[in-house]
Amino acid sequence: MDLAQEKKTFLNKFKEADSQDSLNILKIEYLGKKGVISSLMSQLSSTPADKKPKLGKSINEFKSLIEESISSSLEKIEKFTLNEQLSKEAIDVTLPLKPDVGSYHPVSLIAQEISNYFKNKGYVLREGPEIESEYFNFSALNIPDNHPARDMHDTFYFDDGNLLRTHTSPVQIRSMELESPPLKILCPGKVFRCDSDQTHTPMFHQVEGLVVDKDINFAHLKNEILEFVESFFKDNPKVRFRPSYFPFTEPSVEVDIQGKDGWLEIMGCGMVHPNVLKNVGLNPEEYTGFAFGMGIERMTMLRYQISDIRMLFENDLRFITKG
Amino acid sequence: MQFYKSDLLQYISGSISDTDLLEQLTELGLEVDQSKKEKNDLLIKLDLTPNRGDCFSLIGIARDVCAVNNLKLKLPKFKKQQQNLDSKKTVSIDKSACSSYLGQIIKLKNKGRTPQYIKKTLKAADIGQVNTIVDITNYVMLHTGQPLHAFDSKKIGKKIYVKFPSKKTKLKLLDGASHFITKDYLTICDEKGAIALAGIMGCANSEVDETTQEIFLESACFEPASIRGNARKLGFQSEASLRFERGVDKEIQEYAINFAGQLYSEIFGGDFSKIFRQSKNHKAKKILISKEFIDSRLGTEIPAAKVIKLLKALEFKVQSKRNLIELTCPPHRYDIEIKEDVIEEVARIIGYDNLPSKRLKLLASSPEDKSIEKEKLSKDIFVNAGFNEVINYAFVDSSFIKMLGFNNDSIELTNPMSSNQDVMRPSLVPGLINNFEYNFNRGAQKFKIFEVGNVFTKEESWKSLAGLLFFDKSSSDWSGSFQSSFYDLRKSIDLFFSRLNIEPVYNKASINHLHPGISAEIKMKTKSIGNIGILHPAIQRELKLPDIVLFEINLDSIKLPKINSIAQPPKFPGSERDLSFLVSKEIPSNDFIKELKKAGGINLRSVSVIDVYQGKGIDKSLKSMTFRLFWQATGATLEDKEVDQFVENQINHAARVFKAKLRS
Repeated sequence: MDLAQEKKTFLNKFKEADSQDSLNILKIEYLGKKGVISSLMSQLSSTPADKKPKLGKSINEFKSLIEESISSSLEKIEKFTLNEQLSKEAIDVTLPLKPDVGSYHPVSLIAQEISNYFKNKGYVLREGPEIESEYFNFSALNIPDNHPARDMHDTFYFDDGNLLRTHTSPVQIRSMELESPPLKILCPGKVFRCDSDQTHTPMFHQVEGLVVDKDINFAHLKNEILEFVESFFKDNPKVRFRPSYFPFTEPSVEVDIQGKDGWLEIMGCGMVHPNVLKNVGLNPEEYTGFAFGMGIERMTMLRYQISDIRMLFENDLRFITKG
Repeated sequence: MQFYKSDLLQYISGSISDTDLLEQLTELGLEVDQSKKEKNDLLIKLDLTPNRGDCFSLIGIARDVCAVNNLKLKLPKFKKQQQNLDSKKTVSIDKSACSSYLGQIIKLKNKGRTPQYIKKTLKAADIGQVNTIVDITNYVMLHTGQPLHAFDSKKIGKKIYVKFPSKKTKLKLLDGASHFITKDYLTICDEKGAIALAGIMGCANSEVDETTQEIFLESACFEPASIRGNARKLGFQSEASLRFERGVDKEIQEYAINFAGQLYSEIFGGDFSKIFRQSKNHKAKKILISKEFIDSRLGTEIPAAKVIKLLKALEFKVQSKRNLIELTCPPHRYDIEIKEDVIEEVARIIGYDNLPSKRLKLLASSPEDKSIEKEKLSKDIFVNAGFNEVINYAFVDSSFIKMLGFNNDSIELTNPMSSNQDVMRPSLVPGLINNFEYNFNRGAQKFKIFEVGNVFTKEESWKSLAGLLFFDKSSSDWSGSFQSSFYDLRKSIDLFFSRLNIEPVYNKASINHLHPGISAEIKMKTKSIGNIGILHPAIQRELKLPDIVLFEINLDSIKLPKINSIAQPPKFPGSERDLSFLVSKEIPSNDFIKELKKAGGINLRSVSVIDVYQGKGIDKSLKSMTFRLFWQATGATLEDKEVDQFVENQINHAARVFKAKLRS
């Protein structure tokens, strides 16, 4: 066999091999056990000793040429095939999708935020029934029958004398009847008053805090409110405490924050009235406490700049899913 | 209470700017509701709290303003009119209800006209002019807080009684309305009967008018308890009842009658009788308080001298008794009864904004209500599953829930706002359907909404969780991923239960508002805890609604998951087999799976349904169900022979229980 001739033949064949398969066939033809290279090698034994090294070297060079050519070609083809596959599989990654995005009602979001804030401060969440007795909603809270303070609450009644609670304060009484101080609770929930206009709906939500222990004083209440306002209203507004009246607290205070167009009322609070403590069997000389309460819708409206409270209960999905 | 600043300033020795006055009033607890500049004056409207009856008067408001500004209250003195009219009246009072009663006969000499300054004060207060006699009583009331009443002296008898009627009586009041009054209403009577509803309104039979020449002027103090609620029960509130309900200064009656006397004398010219008077001695309330007590409740130290000074300015009489301060409460402050009330006075005058704040170090100890935790977890799960939360009113339309087929045991409100909010909701479903209609009519095409809230029946109330699923298929997009079948909603429910570590059972059931063939009762063990299904076609037709899927679950009947240990997964390979059965189509897959599990041995890890087929090639009464069963043991590799034995058991068991045939 003539090495030069074989080389020429290989190069011609290689030029024509354009697929993985033909290359592999070529590989076997030349590099296989019975291939061209091995028959060239077997000729080597019958070659004179002085020519052996040179021929051997040439055969090996030829072998390397074959190996490199085929493998580099195979690599190219593999790459090409992969690229072809990739471009075939390509998708439009920009097609619009509509995932089911769940949402909390804005009132829920704000209730949750307020609850979490106070939970982190060690308040325990409590809830109570929405249908209440006259006793828990009024009498126990130092609001006697016929007292003008009852005019502050337009109450829904049932024929059996029970009523829809007008505030979350009955939960104070229920909690104090069940547990003895120290007490640090937060009561979120629905409340009801017969009233409907731009700032009132017949049902709304309140959250109410109560702390009872020995040596609780007004300075504690004030600090609790100031810290909460700072956390809730991110722009750290000016806060004003002004005297007010709630039958179940004494002193009673209303809290305002400075808004763009003047003061905005945000909550009521005060020191628990001694009569309320007496009503649950606590000695007001020994125990004192404070309570605070706010309307969650009001806080929601302030947070999201909503001007009509009724929007919150129309449940328009374009509105309530945006909190 | 509405008034002009100029009227208020009559009582204040000093000047005060408009802005300061408005700010101070609110900071005193006399909240300024509105204010309006008018010519050279300022019209102020206060929103008074029920405890401050004393501030339904210019003097009362001035007193607070003076106290906070360290100014002196200027009270004009009124002389007694010369009493030259010899006329007789006797007065007797029920002292439990009336602490003092003063009356005077005034003979009006000339015609009188209401002067401009009185008109202005009345107009500010939104009190209409009646006639000059009445206008004067109203004017004095606005200044002193003492409601006065003028009777036509010729129309009433010689004897005046203040008493509760002994029987039900019919009265015609000054506003022209007639009322039946019971024994709870305090009245002013003469020998013949009632001439006024005490502290509320006079009767028509003794009314004064332009022609009246002689009046009997009443200045009385009725106890709040004897007036409270009575006007409201009759359906109105008068200027007098507003003040008496809250408490009128016990010592101002004579001042007020002399004030009015002077005006009658100036405007009409008059002859005056002596003042007929009945009263009981009232004991001023006394409160013992210490500086330490005040300090401990406010959390700061306030010098005793400062406390004493400000309380004196509020007209408390102050006497030091060793470490204690003995306070005698002013007769106009009905709201001051206990030490805490005094603390409020101290804080109010010093200003809450000037008091310190201090961090509370108390931590609580008791655990949170499980129900709140459960509500929060439920909301989280459904929001994460792509649901939008709604919040509906707790009252619904009784005719709507009746139409939906809910039991007739919902609780009626005595005084609903409107007829479509007349009962407490027995379910969250009516609200969700309303939400659907509202949004569907506004073009929404995809609904996954839910609500958590209390529901009520006559017997009980519980916390409910409900949801609604709908998708308008014509609005499907290229991805087509949103489905709204029964099974899609059930998938969300299953997700919810699996998060709570609960395995519910769905049983076919008939629920009034749901499609009888596409609905299920959700059960936990044997207890029914909710339902799921497509809205009943009859209801859909009536409401013109498309197919919506609904569920509702009683949250109170669900427990929060206990903490379980987490078992290591088996290391040995398992075996999988698929089995197809032909079985009556009435047999729920759930029951079938239960039986396969029974016969599958302890190493059967899972049974899933991979195909359900009804139709061509199968008898109409039958269906084909293909199950994939998976066995795996913890201690060793399962031998094929063992698994074969289980499969054989299952096939035999299914044949026995369901007459099921293995499909080849």
